[in-house]
Amino acid sequence: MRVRVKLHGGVRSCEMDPARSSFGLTLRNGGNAGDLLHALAERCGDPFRRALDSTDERLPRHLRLFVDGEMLVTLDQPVVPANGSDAGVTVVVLTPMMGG
Amino acid sequence: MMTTEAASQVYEDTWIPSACGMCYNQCGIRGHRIDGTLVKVEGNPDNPIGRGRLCARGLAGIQLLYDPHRVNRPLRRTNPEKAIGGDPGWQEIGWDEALDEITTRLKAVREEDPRGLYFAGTVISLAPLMHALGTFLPAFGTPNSFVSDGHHCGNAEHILARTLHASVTTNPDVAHCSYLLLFGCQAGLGTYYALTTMAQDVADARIRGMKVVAIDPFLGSAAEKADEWVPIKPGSDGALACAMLNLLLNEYELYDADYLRDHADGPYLLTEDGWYARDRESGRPLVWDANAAYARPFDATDLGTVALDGVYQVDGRPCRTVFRALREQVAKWTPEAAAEVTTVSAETIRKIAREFGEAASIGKTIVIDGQELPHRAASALYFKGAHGHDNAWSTSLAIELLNEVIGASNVPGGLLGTNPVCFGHPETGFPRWEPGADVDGLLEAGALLYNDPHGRSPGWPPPPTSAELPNLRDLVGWPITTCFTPAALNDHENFSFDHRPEVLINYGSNLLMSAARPEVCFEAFKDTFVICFNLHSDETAEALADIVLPDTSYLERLDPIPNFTRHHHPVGMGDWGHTIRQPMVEPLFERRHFSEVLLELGGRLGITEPMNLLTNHLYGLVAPHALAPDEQYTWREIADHAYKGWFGEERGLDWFEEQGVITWPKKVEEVYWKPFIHARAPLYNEWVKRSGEQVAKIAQERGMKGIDTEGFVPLPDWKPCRAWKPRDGYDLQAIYYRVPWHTFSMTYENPWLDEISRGEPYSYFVCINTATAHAKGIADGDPIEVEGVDGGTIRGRARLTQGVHPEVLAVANNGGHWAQGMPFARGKGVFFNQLLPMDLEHTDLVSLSMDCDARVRVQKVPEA
Amino acid sequence: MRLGMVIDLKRCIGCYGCQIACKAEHGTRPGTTYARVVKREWGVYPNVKKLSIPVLCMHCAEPPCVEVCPTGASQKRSEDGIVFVESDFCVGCRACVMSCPYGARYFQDEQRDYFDTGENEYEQALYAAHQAGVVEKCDFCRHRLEQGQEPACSANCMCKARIFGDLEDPNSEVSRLIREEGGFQLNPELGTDPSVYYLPPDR
Repeated sequence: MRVRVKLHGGVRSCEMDPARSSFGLTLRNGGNAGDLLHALAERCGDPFRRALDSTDERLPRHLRLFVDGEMLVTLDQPVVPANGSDAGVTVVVLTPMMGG
Repeated sequence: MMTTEAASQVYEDTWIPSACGMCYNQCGIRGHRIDGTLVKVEGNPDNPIGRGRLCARGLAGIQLLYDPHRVNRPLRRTNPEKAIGGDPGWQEIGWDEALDEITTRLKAVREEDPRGLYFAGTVISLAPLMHALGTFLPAFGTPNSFVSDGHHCGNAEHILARTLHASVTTNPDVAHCSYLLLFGCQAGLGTYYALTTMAQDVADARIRGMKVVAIDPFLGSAAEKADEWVPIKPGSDGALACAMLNLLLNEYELYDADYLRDHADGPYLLTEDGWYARDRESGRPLVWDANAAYARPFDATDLGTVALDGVYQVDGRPCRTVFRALREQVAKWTPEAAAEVTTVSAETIRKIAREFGEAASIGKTIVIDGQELPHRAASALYFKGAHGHDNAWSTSLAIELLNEVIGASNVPGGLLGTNPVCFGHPETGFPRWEPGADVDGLLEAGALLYNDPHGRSPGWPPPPTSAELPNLRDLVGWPITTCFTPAALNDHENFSFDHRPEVLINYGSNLLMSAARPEVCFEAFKDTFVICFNLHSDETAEALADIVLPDTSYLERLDPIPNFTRHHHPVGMGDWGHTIRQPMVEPLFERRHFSEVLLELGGRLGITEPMNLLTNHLYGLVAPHALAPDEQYTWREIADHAYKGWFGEERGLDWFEEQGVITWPKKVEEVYWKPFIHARAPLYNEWVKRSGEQVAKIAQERGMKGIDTEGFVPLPDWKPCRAWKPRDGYDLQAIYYRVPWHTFSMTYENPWLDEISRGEPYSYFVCINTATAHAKGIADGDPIEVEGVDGGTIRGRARLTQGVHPEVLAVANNGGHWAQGMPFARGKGVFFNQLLPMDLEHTDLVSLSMDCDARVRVQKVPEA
Repeated sequence: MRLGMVIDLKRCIGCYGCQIACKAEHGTRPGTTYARVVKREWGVYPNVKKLSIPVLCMHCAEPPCVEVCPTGASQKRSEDGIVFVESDFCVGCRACVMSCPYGARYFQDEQRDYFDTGENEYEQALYAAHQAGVVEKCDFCRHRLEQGQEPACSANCMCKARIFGDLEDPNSEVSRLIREEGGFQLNPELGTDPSVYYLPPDR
């Protein structure tokens, strides 16, 4: 499955060139959030690699992953297109609220 | 009353429901508008937040709306010399010009390094603050935000509200309480969360016979009403609480063993080096199964009787239970030892400890809505007076544990989190949140400040990872608020940050006055491009701002969730109330709502998509009410989505504009959730111990100085705060207290509230004990100078009173404005924060609380 | 009917909500506070007490202000005992101000505004009802009573310390409280027979 990834906010700097903060990935069909994190860690390293160290079944708190606008919560959640087609998905990656 | 002309000339006469914004409590209000002019603001009887009754501040808000000194158009600095008290030479400019320049600068920062954008906000404007923190800033990519009054906030209380009550804040269940112990706070009697409702409930409870004991160096409004005023030396409350714990646990044996065994980690075993003893296979904490005479995981299915107290051999090593460790920990705090540091007599300590323990009615139950529940009719509550010190964590923990040991936590009569369980509106099930247990069986809060549709916020506390963020979020990320950023920036060589603040957006906050002495924040941002988005050209704007943008007041703007649903909402039974804040008049002049401007800036910067996704997350919006990622929405459209998402298609923005508030009854399982949700309250704070070790390690690796991790203790103890710094001649401790008619420093510009203070004997003076003053040759009304041991001098007039500890000077709130743009407030009251340095030395690193008192000397000075 | 108020000094926390509730209802000029709060302190540290005492017009049954008024502007309503000023008849002689032992009357000597920039939009709307050169005072919010509402100060009080009602009705809440909770008048020795009663703070 084709995945279009857009990095925003604090994770945008993972790609040294901000202009390349949007890129494509391939994920096996039926892949889940954990697989997606692995793919992102392979390409971008931290903070995705750090996220994989967690023993929690939930996604780490320092990352927010939206698949076609829907937020992922657990690592075993499937990455599927919102409209059910196999045309691929758009994944937006963000850092959450900080400070205050 | 106001029908001076013929009635036929009135073309409009309407009432508008909304939410107050004169302090952080966001009570329900309604406004009366005649012919376009707002003529009255009063409490909204339909709203459970306040139930139609308002405090003086809320009633006086109309004078903020029509204050002729408000900023009405964008301003640009023409005097390049920035200085505290300097004249910025304001020049009015148009919004387009202002936003063009801001966009250009923000674009450059975002391309270079988004962390160059800094943000400061205030908790008073909670909804716009959350919108910025939750959407714009993370979408932009900066973690560098802070709350300018964050050091004066609930810091340590917020942490314990989370670990022990699954919430951000707490309030006592006074409807079922018969003994309320107040440590440096004034719940329902002066200032505190849900004041207008709590005032009604506390008054009812006191008539019913609830006893109030106020522990406070100053005889303020709570102590005035208390059955007993216990004057205490500032910063020593933790010693008093430790002595009370000692008496309850080791002498009177007044504690709730069932609660401690079944609903807390009381029976968990501790290794000799202070960690939970854990099962080798599962990693779960161990308890002692007295039947099997063996240590077993706490969640083993066939556990026998679990031992609460004692020392047991596990793998050949002695392990104490947490309960035993706590008993031993507080044993050294005899009433006599505590009397020495607190100046409260041992006799008084014994008396209130016994009264508190006996009032708890341990073992008794009460039936509410058909449910039989534990009834623990005593609460200990605390706030800034107790925890505004660099021993904040330990002090707060000691006081919280008073409630825990008598089982008065999250049950009728005890200390409640502010609405930590919500099953949602009966028709939609939204919004919802509830706590649960983590893998160790310990309490884990539900979603707190945002409205995650999943109702949980896992992964807390964040582990210390680094020390690269000036707000210390990567080092100590668990306190909700902090104002450490300016101090860290000034200490940047120690922290070795790899970026500098290029742009500061300062929303609604007057950080030069609200954080510490003004030099701290001025130094931190004097070379930064500063945008102040505010109501007045205040001290911060005049010293630092390059551009000032005119904000709307709370009476001119739309906020779909003014209190983020649960915060400062009354605790106890009654109704849920979800309120709209809406404009009672359209924004006057060229004032604009911060949230609307952020939406526009988001569009200009090309970050609408992440902002929309984060907005969905902030409000808990799911299909079909989620925002589409790539659409540019108006603020009204976002509000409409939020309302429909929560309360159904027929209850959109229009419905809320008309009705003002939606209410539904709370369920007993929501309010008194403890017996229904099996999650243990952690008395022992393993995470604090672990965090302390990690912080120390990071500090050592980075060669940082002044990182003192001694305060990272898992159980309470007491040490003097550093503001007790002894030096010859500096013989008094200066503190501030709060009056119920002022909010921080912002309300000093309000003429009605000023009229109160001018007619009231204490609040515009420096209060000094009569005997102390006489010994120093100071007479009532004399001009005096108060000099802090860490620098900083304030001036005021002495008010001699018997109602203050002889070693203490007491100042109300934080006045003494000097800005040209706040002429009404200028010189009114006393600028207390001038006495406060802000640095690592005076900060409790666990909670990021600051010493809010100072060692001082005082002398009479000639008339100015 | 004799309308009166009971102020429960145990409930009252001295928050000044009544002063501003009144101000917000009537839009009075600076210095005019029909409802206000007096603070007292006694004893020696640490055995010291403070007390907040909200005061307003006592609506005396024997009002000296009405007696001394040369024009009949100061009146007591026969139907409910409310003491008020008919501004159009007031010549501003201030005899009533001098005669009132409770300091409840305010002479509108100059047209002062709160801000140095003159009247703001709110003040323009509200001050029109306040004539210059006359005496003003609390009238138990007659305009609210006409609409079936209680006075603004008691309706708002967030400690529910102010209770309004008919003193002549033995079954009213005010009568019950005075009877059962030890209600007392301020300065009864002056013989004005106030319609405002207080309940003791320590009970």
